Amino acid sequence: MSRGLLWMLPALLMIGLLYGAPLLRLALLSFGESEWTLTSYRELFEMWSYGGTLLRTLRISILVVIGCLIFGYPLGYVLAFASAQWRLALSLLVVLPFWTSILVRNFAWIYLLRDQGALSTAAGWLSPSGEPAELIYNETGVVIAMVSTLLPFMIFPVFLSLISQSRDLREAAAGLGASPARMFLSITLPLSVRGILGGSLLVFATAVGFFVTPALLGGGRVLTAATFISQQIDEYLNWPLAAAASMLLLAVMLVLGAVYRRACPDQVDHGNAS
Amino acid sequence: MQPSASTSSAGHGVSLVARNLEMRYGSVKAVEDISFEVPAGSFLTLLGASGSGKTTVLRMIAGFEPEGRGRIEIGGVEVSELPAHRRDIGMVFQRYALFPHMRVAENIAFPLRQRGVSRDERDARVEEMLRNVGLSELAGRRPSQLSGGQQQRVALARALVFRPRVLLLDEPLAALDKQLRDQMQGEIRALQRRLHITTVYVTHDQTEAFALSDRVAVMNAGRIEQLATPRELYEQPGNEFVARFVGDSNLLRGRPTHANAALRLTDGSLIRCPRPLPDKAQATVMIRPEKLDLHTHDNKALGYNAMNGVVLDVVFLGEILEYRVQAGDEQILVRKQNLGRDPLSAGTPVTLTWAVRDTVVLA
Repeated sequence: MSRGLLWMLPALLMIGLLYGAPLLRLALLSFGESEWTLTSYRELFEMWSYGGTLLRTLRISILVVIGCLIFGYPLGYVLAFASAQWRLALSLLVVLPFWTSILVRNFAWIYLLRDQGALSTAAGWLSPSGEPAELIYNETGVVIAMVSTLLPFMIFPVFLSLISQSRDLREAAAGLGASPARMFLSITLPLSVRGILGGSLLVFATAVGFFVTPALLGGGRVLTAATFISQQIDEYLNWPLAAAASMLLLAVMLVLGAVYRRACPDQVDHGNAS
Repeated sequence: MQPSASTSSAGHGVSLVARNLEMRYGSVKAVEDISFEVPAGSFLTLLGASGSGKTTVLRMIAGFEPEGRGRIEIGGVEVSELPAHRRDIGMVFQRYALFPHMRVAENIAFPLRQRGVSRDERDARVEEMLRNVGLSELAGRRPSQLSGGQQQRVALARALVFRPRVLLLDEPLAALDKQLRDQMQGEIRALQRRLHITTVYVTHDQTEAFALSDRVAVMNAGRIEQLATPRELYEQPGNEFVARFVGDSNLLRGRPTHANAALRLTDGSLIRCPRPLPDKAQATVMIRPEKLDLHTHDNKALGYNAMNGVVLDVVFLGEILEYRVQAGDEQILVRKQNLGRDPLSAGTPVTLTWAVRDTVVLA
């Protein structure tokens, strides 16, 4: 046991130095630069409840998760049940944008979503009023661009949870009389809950702290947790407040992680024979 | 156990007919021109090595191979074009394929749910089926909490609870240890007889096939080599493949003589045959190891074939002794029951004899 610990020491040191120490530093900073105080947290609470920053961040993140689920689950499904060549081609298409600069992609979205742009006009045709929709410099644009950016985080966990399902199970279900739709609802979908939850957590975690898209497509009008933090550091040099905001986000994520662990099926229920 | 309106009501078996089944994977023919009939309530086993196409045939019957060609009839109605979920066939998979997110009772209720069976009847039938396979205590467990044998019983219960017209089993015992396998064999056979359900079973294990089946189809390279009762397969294998695949066999090759009534071996011995040999330059006969007798003195009798030889070695297997005898150019396996006498030692000159009627002429 102690030997095992010894072998892990380099890794532990590395994690401790690269992740543990900065995090600790951040946590200390949030309680004041010179003396212990809760000022930053009080300030944060007042500013965020006044400006609705936290709520906005959570709302955007939830919408992004929902958007990623709507587009990501079918894509993951297609990927999982496609032939080998198609799978390769499709996953390349999913990953390729990931290798291009996130800035470039966001500017591309600005171009697509701007007033009189293609999407805005098209959305106008669909809307009852006939007015071109405002898709940029508001939450809508931020959500659209973030969904497109974070989609792979949903696709791959879903894909993995689907391909890890044995073909036998689907065939058994069909053989026992389940139509394709019922098979999906009673077998495939429930067995991919892990992928859905994992992907959602990943997307949500990234979305909550996402900076580039809210900054660019929000046009300074959509203040989220990340843009708030950046603003505090860049404009007001209020490091403790930025640190406090970061700690709050971390707390939100820890709570979500705990919820995920509890909600995840198959990890529970072993050995408690009724 | 009370006889309710239940799965124990016998007689819902229907016949299964397969005609000219064919299945290719790319350019490889996995199944080639396979036809057979399974009479209502009877038990057919597809016996073959892996890659012989036996599982593909089963999957075609179940409807899992839409690319497959040929005609499949259940109870006189063609089902070849029906998707799997409308064929009303119960199937047991080698690796059980229990739904991991459902409890045992939910797994068994699954096919009933798909058929819109009312809740009360569902519960009653699940309960009865659980009793049938002896798992009433485990209704609330998850599949992952069950042993292999228990999982297989659940799979069987799930495949039978909706009273399918045909039951298919794909090597259901392969993953179990020997003792459990023997026990499950008996249970499967008893259940099948009681429910009188038409059954197709796939295995590579000859003992299993013989113990369970009314008839066995020996498969090789996508074709049926022979379809017969276990006894026929053993006593009258149709060709060399079946003779070798089913049980142990001694094959003697030679030239037909005496108007094809006897075989002349390369060492000159003459083997008389109960049936005419095929009219070819080369022919083969087969003798099962336990049909042979060993004598330490010359022994010639009417109606018996004889060959002289020398014992090469003896293997003591407890209830059985296995001799390898060099006779002419052939090594012959002889299997004798251990009757308590001293075994013959290696190097002993012997005469091998066997009844002419035990000489099997191979096509």
